Amino acid sequence: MEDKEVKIFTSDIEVPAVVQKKADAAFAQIKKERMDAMNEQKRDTRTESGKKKILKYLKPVIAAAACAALIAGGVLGVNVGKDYDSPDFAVNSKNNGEQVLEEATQGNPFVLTVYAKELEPGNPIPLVLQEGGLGRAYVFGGNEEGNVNYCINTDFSCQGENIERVGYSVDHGAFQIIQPIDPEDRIVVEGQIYNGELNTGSIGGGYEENLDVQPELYETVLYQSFILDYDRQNDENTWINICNEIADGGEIMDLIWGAETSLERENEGINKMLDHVIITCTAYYSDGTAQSVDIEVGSRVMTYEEAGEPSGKGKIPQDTKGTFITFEVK
Amino acid sequence: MQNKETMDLIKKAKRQDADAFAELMQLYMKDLYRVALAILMNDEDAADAIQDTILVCWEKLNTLRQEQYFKSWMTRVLINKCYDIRSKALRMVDLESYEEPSAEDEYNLEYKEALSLLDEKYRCVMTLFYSEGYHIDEISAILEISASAVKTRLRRGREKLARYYGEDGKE
Repeated sequence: MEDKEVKIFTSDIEVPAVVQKKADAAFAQIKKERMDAMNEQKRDTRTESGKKKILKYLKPVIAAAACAALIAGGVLGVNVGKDYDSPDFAVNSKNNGEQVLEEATQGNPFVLTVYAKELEPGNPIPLVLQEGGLGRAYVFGGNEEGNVNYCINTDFSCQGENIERVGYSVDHGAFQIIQPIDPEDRIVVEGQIYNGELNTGSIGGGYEENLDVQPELYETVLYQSFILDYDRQNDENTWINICNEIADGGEIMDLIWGAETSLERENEGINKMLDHVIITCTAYYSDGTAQSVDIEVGSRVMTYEEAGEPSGKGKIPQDTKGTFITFEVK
Repeated sequence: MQNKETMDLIKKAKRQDADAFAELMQLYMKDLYRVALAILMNDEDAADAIQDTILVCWEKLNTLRQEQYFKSWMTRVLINKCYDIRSKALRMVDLESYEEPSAEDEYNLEYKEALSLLDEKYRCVMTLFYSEGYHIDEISAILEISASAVKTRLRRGREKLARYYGEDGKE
């Protein structure tokens, strides 16, 4: 028998009207602030002619929505080159999940591209924001606790003969992959989940259109590494970003956003934040061998002309200098 | 532990989906109310504590590392808010001191009567254990007291209520 003194605690209760009313007021406030933040970021982007590349988010929780508004269209090219001197060994993932070293195929190169742009060794390719279309972007943030964070969209594509799968790993931080909720629509066939949580902005996931509805179609997953089928490396509903959060980033924050900042200081701050992050791309061949290439992500100061930024009416003058995220084969 | 539907809502809320967050918090509204009432003993203050809790949970949700602990984390936030309100002595009354109860405090009278028989330390532990289904060690973590203290408070609170219902013939 359940005693009366216990039953009273398990009996149903009614939420008073005053409680529900104040809860509803809180929900309404949250929705309003959320919409205001998104609309503000949209306005910022429109007034910057698509050139607002770095934002300071005191509350990184709004970065997820805000960064989507940053997407201004663009092309990023990374190419390993057919003459690339590949490493002798590569990490290969077997079906049983074990990581083994296996001798790589010699003389069986692959080309890493994004929108057919190629990168030759020693020639860093900047991430360029271009006008129009769904493009590439990056977003940096900082919060009250002194943490700084970045989220950079990457859209690699590996091309070569007899490649079955393509894998990517990152040496610090994680891949933030925004993908459809429906498993059948996902392109990641295998992945190692990142063991932790990164409070960064996001790029993609339909935030830029219907702010309330579309994000529900997607999920965000942090991977340490992941593998794609060669025949299905890209999808218009999947965004692959690298991201990381750095604690005690006061110096970085000051370099990038401080009152005394300059292009050089901003560049130094971005490079400190990125900390020579390396993305490793591995091609897995049908004969069981694999071949990898390392790509360092950094920042450089260059003119918009040097970066390959389109010129024309409404664009930033070509001789203007700026900081650009770059991808360079190591 | 939350079911899959709730976990999905938590994930969406962490992605700043305000609608999912509202749905999530609404699922826990009775739980929030029970705990707030156990500490504050009136509906107006409980409403304030819950309102503050909703706002704080939205703002801090990104700090929650393990989604399965959302309810414990939310309850901890609520309890802190309740303590804040109580420490400011805002409309701090108990049921017996009411001369003219407001219409709002006409809700759940039998439940409030039972709560009013107990000191706050017993009310809170009994609510978390019997109403919310937390285990001893979870309550110990939420209230930052020892497991033995939780057990003692449960036993004494139950004994006190049992005496009252026995003597009063309220069975």
